[in-house]
Amino acid sequence: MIAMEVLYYPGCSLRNTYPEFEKSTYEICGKLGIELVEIPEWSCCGVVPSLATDNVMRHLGAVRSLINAQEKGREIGTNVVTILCSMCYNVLKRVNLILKEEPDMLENVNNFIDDQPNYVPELRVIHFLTLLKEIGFEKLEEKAKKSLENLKVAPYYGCALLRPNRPEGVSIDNPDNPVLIESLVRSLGADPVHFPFKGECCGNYHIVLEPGIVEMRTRKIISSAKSEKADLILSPCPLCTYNLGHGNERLDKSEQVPVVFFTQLLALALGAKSYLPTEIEDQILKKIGGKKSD
Amino acid sequence: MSEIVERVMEISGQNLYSCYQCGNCSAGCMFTDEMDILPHQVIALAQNGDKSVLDINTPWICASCFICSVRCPRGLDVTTIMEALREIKIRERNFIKIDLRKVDIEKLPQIAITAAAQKFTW
Amino acid sequence: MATIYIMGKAYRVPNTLTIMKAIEYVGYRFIRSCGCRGGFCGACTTFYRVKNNYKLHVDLACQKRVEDGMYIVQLPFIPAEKPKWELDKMKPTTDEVIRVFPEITRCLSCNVCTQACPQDIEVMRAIQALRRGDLQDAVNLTFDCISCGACSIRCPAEITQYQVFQLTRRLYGKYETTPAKHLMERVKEIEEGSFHDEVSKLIDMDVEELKELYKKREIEK
Repeated sequence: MIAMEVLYYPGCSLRNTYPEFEKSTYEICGKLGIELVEIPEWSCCGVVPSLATDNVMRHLGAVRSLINAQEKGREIGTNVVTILCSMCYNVLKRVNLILKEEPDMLENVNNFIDDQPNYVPELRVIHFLTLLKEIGFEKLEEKAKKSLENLKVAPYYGCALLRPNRPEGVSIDNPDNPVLIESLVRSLGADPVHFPFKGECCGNYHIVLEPGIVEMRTRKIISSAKSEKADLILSPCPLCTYNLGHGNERLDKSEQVPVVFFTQLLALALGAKSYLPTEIEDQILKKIGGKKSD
Repeated sequence: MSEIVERVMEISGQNLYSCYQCGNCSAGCMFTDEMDILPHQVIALAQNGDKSVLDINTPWICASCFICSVRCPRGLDVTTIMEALREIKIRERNFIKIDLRKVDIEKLPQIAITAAAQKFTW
Repeated sequence: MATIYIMGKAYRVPNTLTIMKAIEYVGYRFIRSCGCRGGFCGACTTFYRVKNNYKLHVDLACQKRVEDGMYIVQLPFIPAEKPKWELDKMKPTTDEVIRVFPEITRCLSCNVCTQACPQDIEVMRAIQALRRGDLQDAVNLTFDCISCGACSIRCPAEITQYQVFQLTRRLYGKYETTPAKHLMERVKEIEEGSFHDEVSKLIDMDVEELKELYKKREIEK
């Protein structure tokens, strides 16, 4: 059993809309010996970072959360913050990097926040997938209780895990051809399909005012997965999951591909509760033939 | 340097004059179907100080996916230039792009409402 | 004595007075911005700066003592239209609160609301508690809210925090707290008319009789 404590930033979606994403992750961590220490009094990250050079105000939610992470981290002796939602990851990672690179902005922010300690950008913000990679996928293979053989998955990355390329360090893998999630599912016996739309945008915030744009984007993504005979699309992001669901609803049953969070499939493989809808879990179990790995 | 170029460069921190109109950004953009004009054409208009660039829909169709910025051979952050064009309008007094009390709140998840609220309002 | 500036005009007042008392001391009579005079109704929201300091302060005029060099202005009313909600059709979740008030998603965590609150409520913390999905936390943090509106008028995201908190507490009170049994019983007694005769007698009494009754009342020593 690996015993490690990491700071954890949940994000609003996991508490309000998609609790299964977080719950399945807690199950995985239970099996792997990871303790997720929730950052006290974390603030909403804002979902989309401000790109304007002068809109420092928009960073405040992220900075306040990072300061609280810093303080909690000093208490328990870690500087690693892990995040599940790829949008939250993108914001916090970028704000952290920007504050490292721009001491003027750091000073501005520290001067404004007068009710919390100063932020010293020494935290390491990583997505949960990176954490799993650092633990080693072979450890996951060891602990797997069910082999996912015969299951074809389309690993969807979306934008937030791969871009932008400046500041450097945001992408969890080669942004032009990431293979991290593929390696992960392969270590569990599943078959990741060739999926050229894996890094294509789902439409993001357009679901609010221009849902037609989301329908156009997600139709392409889903049909790419379908044409490769994928049984599932794995998603790392609540917004992408919603948008792809929206896209699925507007397709014929025969063209749809179910979308699940990657942690739900991982939990299933580790013999833990996956919080998948019964219909989808049954479909997966049927496909993998309920085989146990040795 | 015209007013609009100065303002865009101030807000985005990008040097508009770096663009030599290669079209890589537009080639990578996944949202061009709905756009009035293509991203690289927007930059051309802006470079010429043409104020009508603020009235076209391209920056509003942009989804901030960053493909353009990643593909630009001159390292120009095109996404941020689009954001600057949006911000110029958003910061205007009484400009409303989205009325949060009028969107279909019933079905939309919180993450979507938050993203739209933070992107389209000041 | 202290010099204070009311709507820009300078006055000398004893420095032991509250802002409200000081305004009356110099001769103004309140027809608004005055209510319970006890720090509970939120009517006397007052903004002020102190000479040579850029910081903007908010407090209740009936509670706050004057300071030398205070520049004050009062806001008797904060504009806010209360959206319609139907408690019976809602669930006790933070998601429901955010659906009624979607502008909460604009919150930047800037904290000016907390700085403005005369009741020392952690306003930003309560709003973010709603983002974190913690209804109970938001309820506990905002119990002391008197709806003065100072937070709301300062908020860059244009949220009317006091209305948000009112809905939060009402949802929680309706669905999550156990109903007070003795209260339900008393309400039933009232509806059945158990107190009708006594109350009618009081209503029919004239002022002199009432005064006598009041003087003779039981007082705990």
